[in-house]
Amino acid sequence: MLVKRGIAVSPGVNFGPALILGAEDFRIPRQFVSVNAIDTEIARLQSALDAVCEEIAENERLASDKLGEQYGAIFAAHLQMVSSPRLREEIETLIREKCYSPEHASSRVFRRYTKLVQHLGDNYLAERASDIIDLEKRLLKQLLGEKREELSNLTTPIIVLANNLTPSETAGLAKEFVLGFATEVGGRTSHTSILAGALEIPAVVGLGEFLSDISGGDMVIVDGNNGEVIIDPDEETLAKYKDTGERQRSMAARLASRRKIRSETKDGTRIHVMGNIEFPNEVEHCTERGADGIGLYRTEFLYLQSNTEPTEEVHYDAYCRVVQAAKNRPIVIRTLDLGADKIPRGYRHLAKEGMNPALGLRSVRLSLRDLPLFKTQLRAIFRAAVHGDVRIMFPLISTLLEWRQAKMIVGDVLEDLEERGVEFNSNIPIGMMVEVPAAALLAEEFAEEVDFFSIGTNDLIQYTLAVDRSDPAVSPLYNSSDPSILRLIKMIVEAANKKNIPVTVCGQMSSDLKSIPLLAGLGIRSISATPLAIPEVKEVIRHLTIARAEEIAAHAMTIDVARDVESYLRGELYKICPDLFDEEMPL
Amino acid sequence: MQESVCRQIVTVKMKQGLHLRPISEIVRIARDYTCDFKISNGDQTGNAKEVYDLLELKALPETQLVLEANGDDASKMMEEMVQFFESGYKKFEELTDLPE
Repeated sequence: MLVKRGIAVSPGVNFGPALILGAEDFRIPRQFVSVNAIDTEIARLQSALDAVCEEIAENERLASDKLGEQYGAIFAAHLQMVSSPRLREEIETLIREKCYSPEHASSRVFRRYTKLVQHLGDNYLAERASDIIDLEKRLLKQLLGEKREELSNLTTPIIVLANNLTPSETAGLAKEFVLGFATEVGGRTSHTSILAGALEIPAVVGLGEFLSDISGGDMVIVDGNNGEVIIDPDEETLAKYKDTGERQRSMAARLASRRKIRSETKDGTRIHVMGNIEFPNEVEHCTERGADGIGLYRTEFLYLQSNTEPTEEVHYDAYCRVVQAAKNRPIVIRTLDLGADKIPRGYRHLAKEGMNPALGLRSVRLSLRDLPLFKTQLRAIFRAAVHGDVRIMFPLISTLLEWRQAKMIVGDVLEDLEERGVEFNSNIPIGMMVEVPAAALLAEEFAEEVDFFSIGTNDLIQYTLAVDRSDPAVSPLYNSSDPSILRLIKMIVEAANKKNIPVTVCGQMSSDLKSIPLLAGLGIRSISATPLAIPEVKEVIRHLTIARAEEIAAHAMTIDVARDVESYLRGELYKICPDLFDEEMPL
Repeated sequence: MQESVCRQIVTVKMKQGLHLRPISEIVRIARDYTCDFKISNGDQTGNAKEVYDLLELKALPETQLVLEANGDDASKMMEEMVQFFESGYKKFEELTDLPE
């Protein structure tokens, strides 16, 4: 049993056989063979190895003819690796002694060599590991032959493991059979995280190197609550997780039955709970859990899902689908929140390598630099606003000047639409994310000019504490309970109340149950959480009185260390709604 | 034909250490001869005719390796191998990855 810790990005617990994406493009069907089949299986291995040798020899000829002899030499090396007596002996031993299937045994042996190569010091052989992975793929392909199960055509549930998942890889998966994701790299905002969240599949990312410790078909547990992946669990651990999984499902069913109850505190204060989404089809995930609206519609995927920039119609279609699904509930659309390096064209050259991207040309800064891109999105939003309660929000506003510039562009766009004679709604609220400390400090000034605030806790924490939480060396510093964060939130809420504008909290903190009483106590009356968290957030609110929440917030503000604030908030949450917890779950 | 044992110490000069392509060439040379040929890096000893043994040597740049040949054509093989570690490896340095 091997336990790896990573970043939990999509909650839930699941277990199943591993499928290693990249190394296998297909699932390894079975782990063991029967004792009397061993000789036949070894013969099968031998002919597969022979076939791979022939394949490589053919490639060697082609490469030498077409590219020159030195390129042919690469395949000569591969040929030696496959024809190696040691390789065959090792695979054979695993088949004979452990009754592994040739597929599983080969995967194990190759995986060990991959690992060996990856660990050979910095900048050394490591990059050659891909050669060995390639050989493994070739051999598996031969072994599986016609029985090969393509990823798009899976028939059994699996856990997908990968170095990283690209959108196209994920698109190739038969999703009903994917029980969970785990990747070596990636942070909370990586594709894997976003997709896993949208699919509501447990996921853990940023695990560091672990794929060489595992072979296709091994049992794996993905614990998306605690950010753990357990490889080859012992029976006791597996039983514990089966139990947890069942209890979570029954809890979810219980909460689902209360979805229509308004989210109101015990003393009758209404706190709106909305959902954060990436894709139009997620609106339903929110509404079926009783959300009051969409508090954050991230539009980045419109830019990422193809290699061309989305047209106004692509934007408009997506927004209309969201509006339709939301059935008159409010929808807050956030304009592009990406770095220059992520979008297909335009200002890519401005995203200089080696610079700090979090402090560079991204989000609204990029929109203000690339006006055609910005105006295209804005036009689509104002047009979609004809059909429902649509609001616009600009991310990463740092200065008043930026805000005013963005508003000026809005003016231009409205004039354009007027001239074009298309239907649009110009009378919609326009607000900003408060996620840069500079904006939080000037909240009163901003509150004079904006229609609403939405506190983006993720970036606010990153910029305030100067910590990149995807960097394991400093990620422990990242803490939403830090006293500095609490003070900034308090400032923002007070500014908003003074000028009488609404303020919402989106970002991870609003899905973190222990923060809910604190936020309510600081005066927050609108929360936007990930769809899965909505029922629990509502449940906490229904167990709360405003007086108690204010006491909790007031006490939390007197604590000077994040860790102590955190354990205080956990303790209070447990007192408020003990039935949300399992006795065995660590608090 | 005379039976003989020879030993030599060489230094890994390849910029990337003993990586797959030089290893492949060593294996190719070794397989041309009938004698036993062992290469050691400290405690780790490998058969020069076996790719995976050589990978396991984990020979980084500037590592000192002990070469040991034992058999009929030992001295001739040693000569070719030493030559490879001296300068023969260089043509494997120039090679970059396959063009796309």
